[in-house]
Amino acid sequence: MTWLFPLYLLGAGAVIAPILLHLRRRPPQNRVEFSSLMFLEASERLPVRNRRIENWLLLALRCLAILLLAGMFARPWWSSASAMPKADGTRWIVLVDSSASMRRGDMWDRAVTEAQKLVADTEAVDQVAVGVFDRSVRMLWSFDEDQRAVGARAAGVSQRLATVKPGWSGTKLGAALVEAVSWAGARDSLAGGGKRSTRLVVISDLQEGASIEELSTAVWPSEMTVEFRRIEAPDLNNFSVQLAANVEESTEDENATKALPKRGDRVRVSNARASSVTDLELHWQSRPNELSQGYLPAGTSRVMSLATRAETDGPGVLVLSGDAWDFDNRVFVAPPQPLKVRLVFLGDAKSRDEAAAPLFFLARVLQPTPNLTPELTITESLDASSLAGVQVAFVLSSSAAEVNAPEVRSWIANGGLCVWVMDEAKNAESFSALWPRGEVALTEAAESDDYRLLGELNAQHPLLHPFDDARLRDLTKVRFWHHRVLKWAEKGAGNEPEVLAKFDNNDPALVTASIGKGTLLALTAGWHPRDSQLALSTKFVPLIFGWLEAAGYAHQEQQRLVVGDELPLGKAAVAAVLAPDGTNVVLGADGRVVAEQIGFYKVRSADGAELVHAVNLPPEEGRVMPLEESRLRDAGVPMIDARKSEVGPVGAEESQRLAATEQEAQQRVWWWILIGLLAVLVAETWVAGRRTPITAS
Amino acid sequence: MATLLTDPAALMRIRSLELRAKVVVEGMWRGLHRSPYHGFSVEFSEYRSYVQGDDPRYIDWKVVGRSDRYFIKKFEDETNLRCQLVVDQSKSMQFGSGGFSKAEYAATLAATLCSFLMKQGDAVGVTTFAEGVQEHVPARNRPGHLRRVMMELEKPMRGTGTSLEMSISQMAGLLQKRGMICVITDVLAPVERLETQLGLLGAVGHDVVLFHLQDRAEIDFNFDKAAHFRDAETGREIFVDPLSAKENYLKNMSAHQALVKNTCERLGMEYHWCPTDRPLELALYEFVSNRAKQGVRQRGKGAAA
Repeated sequence: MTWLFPLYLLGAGAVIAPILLHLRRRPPQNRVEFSSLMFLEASERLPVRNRRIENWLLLALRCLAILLLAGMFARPWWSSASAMPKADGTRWIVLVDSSASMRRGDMWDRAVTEAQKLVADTEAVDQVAVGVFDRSVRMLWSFDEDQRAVGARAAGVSQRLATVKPGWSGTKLGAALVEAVSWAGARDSLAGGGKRSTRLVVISDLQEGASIEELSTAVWPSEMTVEFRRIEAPDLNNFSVQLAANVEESTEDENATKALPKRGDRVRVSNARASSVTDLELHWQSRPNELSQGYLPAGTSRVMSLATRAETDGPGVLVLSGDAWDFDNRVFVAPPQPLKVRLVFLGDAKSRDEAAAPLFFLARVLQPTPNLTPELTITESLDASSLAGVQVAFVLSSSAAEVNAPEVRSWIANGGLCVWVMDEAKNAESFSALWPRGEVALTEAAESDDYRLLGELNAQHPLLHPFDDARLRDLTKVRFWHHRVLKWAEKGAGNEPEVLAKFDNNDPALVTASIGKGTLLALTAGWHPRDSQLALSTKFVPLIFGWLEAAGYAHQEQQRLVVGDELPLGKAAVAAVLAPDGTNVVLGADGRVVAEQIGFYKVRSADGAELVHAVNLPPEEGRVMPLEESRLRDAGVPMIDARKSEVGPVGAEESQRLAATEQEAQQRVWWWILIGLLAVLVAETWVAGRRTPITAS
Repeated sequence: MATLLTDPAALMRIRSLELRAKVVVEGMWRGLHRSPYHGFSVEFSEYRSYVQGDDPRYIDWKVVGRSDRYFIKKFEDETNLRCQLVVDQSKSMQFGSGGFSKAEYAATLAATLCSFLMKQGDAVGVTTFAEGVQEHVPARNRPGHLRRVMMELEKPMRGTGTSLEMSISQMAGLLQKRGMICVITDVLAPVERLETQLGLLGAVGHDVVLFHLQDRAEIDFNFDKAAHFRDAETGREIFVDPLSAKENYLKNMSAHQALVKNTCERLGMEYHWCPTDRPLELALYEFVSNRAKQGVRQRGKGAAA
């Protein structure tokens, strides 16, 4: 039998107390009336050596109770061979943080040294796997490799670690831990035998910005313990900077609107809580003399406006200075790069200034935006030459006689969007040549005094995407005075046309059909005032831009990219992607590119156009305050204290102690001792109560 | 005979003292049924020469006829025995371990003697004392006197200390006529002064009988726990460990008892040692048989004279 807490056995020494108490003869308090004292002499108190122990049974019970109490606290257990830690060693998983925050000072070198030391201290019977993690985990040294080359473990791991440098990614600590658990689980299922004790050692700066949400769903194997070894930063004087939301145009005053367009001129600057610096400076890299100075107390953040930057400046790099660490001190701002979309309108160019003509409204809708520059050309005949380089074509059925149907059809099949506006019930044969179901019947709707409204609208369709927003879906004020009735064969070859909107009399209002990669869209009423109020309503602009967006030309602001995001390559064929350091990035198997560095990625399309994407550091990575370990503990991570545990013999002792604790918890001997103790106490009470006091007769 | 004896503890449960006395006396009558010492009568004591002034009625004329000398015939005065029961009522008599005190035993013993003697036609009186004489009922033999004596014995005790010699000297003045004096006491007082006083009573001509009462706890000192022992009379307290003090106590006590006995013998007094757990019949029987022996002895002495 062994004891879990043998020090408590010292408590058994307390048995001396009842023995002394039994030896002590209380000075008698009782008085006896006696007839005469003439024959009596006063007695002396008994000397100590003559004292005798009274009530042996009671004394024995009391001593036994104390011994049992001490034994219970010492937690005895019987060690058995099966309970002892297995001789096959511990399984070690070492994860080294390679996120951007590890670029501070010599932290990465220290982390690597720590990992090397840990691996070098492992036993030959242990199993070791080493990986690095930032937003994802990369295994450097697997269990299989380890098993094959136990002797070269330390050298191999050092060599692999030497090839790794901290990147620019954020820290997804939770995901990394979950992944590491799966390594151990996979190893267990391969080994098939009993489960080894597994120690997961995370060597990291454990910054506050590390993401641990994934831990909430993690299931931890019982044999796994996690140890965090924090690489302490020399100091925490760190500002971080990120782009703030742009000022809405409506809030800009008139003068500002007239000035050069401002881009990325508002930044959010934060100071770490434990920081001791407060003064910061911001400037554009291209204009080192125009400094914006600011004061920021520790633990606060503020939004700062910067000197305006001309659009002609090109890609801008905002530099923050004043703190100790510069890994998060730069913000890359891509220059405005509006997309060019070319549109063609088949109709009379003169009608551009006629307020009743459809072109009048269309030309006014297609205004350039910061991200989209529509170029509208008017043509009198639609054929391959006029459609060259055009993405969207508008055709009025009144002027559709000049449509070269086969060429237009092939253009659509190559990805063009053709919008056929049936302002009159004419030229149905030209439309039929494009229509996948062949012949269509186009007639004027019956004249009536009443107007038509749009009855059904399929807002989920990409072409009507803007109306997915409930605020825009109120179309009750868009009245249609005249419309045409389009009918086509229900069955036939080709793709089935889709009715996107219907009038309230169930006549189709907006019909689309896919042709090859492109789309033919038919509007059975014009938007000009003779036919409807559509062009005059607030819905017209979203409708036209929705079509452009469906064609791949969104006017929304460019996405802000951080390291780890996928680069938006667009629809155009990509010729090359240049990383910020100038290297050519090889496209992934799925044709995607993930940003790995901060800076400007240049995407060259096959037609020679170059698009610049600014990639920044994930903002969370700039929060370098230490993560509280209690948060990890609360997330269920079976942590052990790094300061108490050491690798090697001490670690073995620790695991032995853990095994002993577990064994003891299973046997629960102390429970039986407690029951015995209670029984002894009951017996003691009974004996003590039963003992009648000896009094004078 | 042992079966006929009454356990003192059982006897003391009888509330009435008179009834208690009756139980004992009748028990002894029954026990003495075939006793050779049955009865007392007017017994011849001695002759002496006639001197002038003697009552001529007591001249033994038969002797005058035979020897022509005048002798006066003397008789023992037994029928006119005057017995004074002297009962100790000091605080020490209130001690008792067997469920009753020595005082109760003493009262019962006195009542028994009284009842017994009055049945014989003797005159009996009672005197209670503590520091001094408390009550005194002169010896008489008439109807109703027994009840009075019993009432006196049943009175609650008032005494504190014991002063036997003082009480005896007071009593000597009270007792005009010679008679028997039965002193019932625990004799918890120094013997030396007692001796002179008792000797004085004997010298006056009283026949003194001493009943020495002792409780069983006083005889054996069977305490087993150390305690503060308090003197019943003086109130003095001392710490006594019975285990160590017992030996000394027993030695002192038996020495005292022996001294009392020797003193009585030396003074020619009758001594009865009465442990209170001893049946009263035995005490009474012992007393009666002792008296009878003494009568025989005195008669023998007279004959020799």
